Amino acid sequence: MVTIKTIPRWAFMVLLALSCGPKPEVYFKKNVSFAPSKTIAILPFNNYSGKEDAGKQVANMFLVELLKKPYLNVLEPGEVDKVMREERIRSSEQVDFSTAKIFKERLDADYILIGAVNEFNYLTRGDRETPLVGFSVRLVDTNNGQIVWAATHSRKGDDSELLFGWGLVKSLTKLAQISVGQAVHQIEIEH
Amino acid sequence: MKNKRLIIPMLLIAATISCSGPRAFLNDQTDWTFYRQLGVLPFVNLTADRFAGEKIQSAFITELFLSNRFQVMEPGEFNARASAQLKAAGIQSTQELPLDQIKAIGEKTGVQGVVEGVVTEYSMIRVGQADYPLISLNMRMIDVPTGTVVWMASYSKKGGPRLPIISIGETHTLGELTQKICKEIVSDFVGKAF
Repeated sequence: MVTIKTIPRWAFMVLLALSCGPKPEVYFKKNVSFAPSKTIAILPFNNYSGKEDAGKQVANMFLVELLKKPYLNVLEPGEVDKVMREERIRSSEQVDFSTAKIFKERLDADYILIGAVNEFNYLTRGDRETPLVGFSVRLVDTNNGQIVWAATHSRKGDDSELLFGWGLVKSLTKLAQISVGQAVHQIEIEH
Repeated sequence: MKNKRLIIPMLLIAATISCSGPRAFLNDQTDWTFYRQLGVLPFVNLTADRFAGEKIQSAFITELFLSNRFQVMEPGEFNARASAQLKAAGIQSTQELPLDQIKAIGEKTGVQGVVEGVVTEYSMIRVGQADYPLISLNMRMIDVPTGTVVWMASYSKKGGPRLPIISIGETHTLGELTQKICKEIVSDFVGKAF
C-alpha cells in the first residue's frame, strides 16, 4: 500500500523545487540604504501588453506592496499625476535627470519608480487558459539620476503547479499580485 | 544491453543539436575594464510587435546591471541626450545609426561604450501541436573614443524543449524567453570579455 511514508524524500524535494516557479531578475545597487525612511513617487507605468489599463493595475499593485514597507513613504498617485500634468511630462520614458529633479523639488521624492508592463493576458494552450504577467521596473535616485534597483519578471499561472492543479493560479490579478510581491520582496532582503 | 549503450551517445547528440549558441565577435585587443558606464540606445524594432524593442531593452539593461561589471546610464537620461544629438544631425532615432553618430552620442553623454540592438524576430511560432516563442536579435557595442565595434553578436532562440521529444525546459511565453535570451547574451558577453 502506498502511504506518505513510502514516498521517497527526494520526490518531495523535486516537487518543492518545481513548485517555486521563476524568480524575478533583480539588481540592487550596493551601499544603498532606505534608512531611516525614503519617499518614492510611482510614475504611471507604460503599457506594452495590449490590454487596456494593465499599466494602471500593475502600478497600483506596486503601490500596495511598497506601502507595506515601514521604511518607505509612497506618494499619493494623484499628487504625482498633478506634477506630471503641470510640468507636461507625458510619459515615464521621457524621464531624464532634469525631470527627476522636478520630483525632488516639488514632491520631495528621493526615488522615482518607472515601470512597463510587457505581458498581461491569458495564454491559451489547448482548452486551458493560463494567466500571464510580465513587467520591468527601475528605481531612480532623484539626487543623481542613477538606477538603484531594477527588476524584470515574467510568470505564468501554472509555473508553481504541482499536481492536479495544486498551486495553479487561475486569476490574472492574483498572479500579478504574486509577481509584484516577489519583486518588491527583494528590497526587503537588501534593507 | 547494446541498446542501453546507445542511449547516452544519443542523448548527447540530441543535447548538442538543441544547443544553438550565439555567433559573437569580441575585439581581443579591448581592455574591458575601461568601460565603467555604458549607454544603451533604444533597440531598433523590425518586428510586427510595436513594443518588442522596449521589452527586450529593459530586460537587457537589468541583466547588464546584474553582471556587476558595468554601470548603465539611466535610459531616460541617455535617450534625452542622444535625441538632442540626433536631432542636430538630422537623423531619425528609429533607424540603425552610423558609427560616427554613435561615437558622437557617446561623447555627448559621457559614457565609454554604447550598445545598440536590433530586434529581427519577436513572435509565437507553431511547432507541431504547440506554439512557442521565437526571438532573434543582433547586438553591437561601440567603443566611444575610437568609434569602432568591440562586440557584435547575433542571437536567435526558440522556446521549445531543450531536449527533443522530452518536454524539459520548455519556454512558452515571449516574456520568459526575453529574460532567458538577455541573460544568455550578457553572460556570454561577460564570460568572454572578462
